Amino acid sequence: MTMKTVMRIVKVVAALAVCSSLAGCDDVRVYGSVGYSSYNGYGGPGYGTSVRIGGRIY
Amino acid sequence: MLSRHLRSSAALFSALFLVACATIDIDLPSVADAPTGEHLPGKIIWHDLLTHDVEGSKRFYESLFGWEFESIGSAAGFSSDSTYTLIRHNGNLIGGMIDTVALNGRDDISQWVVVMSVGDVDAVSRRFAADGGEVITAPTDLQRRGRLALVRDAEGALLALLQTRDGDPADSEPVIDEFLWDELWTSDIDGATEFYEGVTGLQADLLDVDADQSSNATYRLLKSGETPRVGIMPNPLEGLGPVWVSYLRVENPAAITAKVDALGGRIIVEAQARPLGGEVAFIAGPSGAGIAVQTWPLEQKD
Repeated sequence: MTMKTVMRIVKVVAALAVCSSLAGCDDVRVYGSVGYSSYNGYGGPGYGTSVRIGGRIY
Repeated sequence: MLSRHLRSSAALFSALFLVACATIDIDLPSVADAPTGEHLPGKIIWHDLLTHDVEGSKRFYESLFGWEFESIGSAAGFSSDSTYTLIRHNGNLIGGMIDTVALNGRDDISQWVVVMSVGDVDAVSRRFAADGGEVITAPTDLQRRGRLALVRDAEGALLALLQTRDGDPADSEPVIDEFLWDELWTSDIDGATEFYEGVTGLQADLLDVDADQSSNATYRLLKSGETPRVGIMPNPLEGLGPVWVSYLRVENPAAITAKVDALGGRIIVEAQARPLGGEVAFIAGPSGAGIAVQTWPLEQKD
């Protein structure tokens, strides 16, 4: 394989990588970086009224 | 020779990538229909729902609270219209909804995110990191909305910090079926109180919230001057990680919970009387994101 062929392949791969990245680079900002949620995997039972929660007081 | 070509090509494409990304702007509307021009640090000024079930979430919140939805993703600069949706109630802007599947293919990050006002988002973000928290997304310009960062506190609870461009919404009386209160549920209320006092400048009051004052003085009210901004309390739910919980003002929590299952949500804590008055319940929408509903003012229902 000649150096010219190698460079051609490198450029095509790099161009595809750039296009792929650009397609999502706006959306992954801000909330796209959230890695997990406190509710993910939270399968706790319905608590009925056995626990007290908070809320506004003043 | 080959190595030199590879290095120069990589540098060229890296530069192109950075330049192109830097020029793609997200433009979201202000969080206030009538911005005040002032910053109210520590105030929760916006709520964003991250959900992997946009249509189910719309049905849920529309049926329970009469909310209206306007998809603006494409106009805002996202790659699809569903990525960002404005939430209104009686025409008033009250929050946003992000389609996590359209955003980045995730179906496991659903949650409500509180957005706290800060005067200098860069400085407060640095303080979060310095005090044991984590900056998830560095301060990012969102045009008319302002400059926003996504952070976790020292216990791992997620929230956003926003330095509004045109000012925060003014303090106002809570409206039925709109946001009423925000509260951190954590395993370390003393640590969390110290953390948030440090990073936000709010001052904490320690409160008894049980009518008989038998079980605790474990509620922390963080205030700006004499204005209560947020609460901190021990996490009451086993298995649920530290989380910011938002409360909606409703007329009758039991009437809300009666409809939850049929709309694809679930009841986590049934409607109950609060020791200091009023009623409260905790439910989850179709995507699993929890939200509380509460009567206000505190008087008990007849």
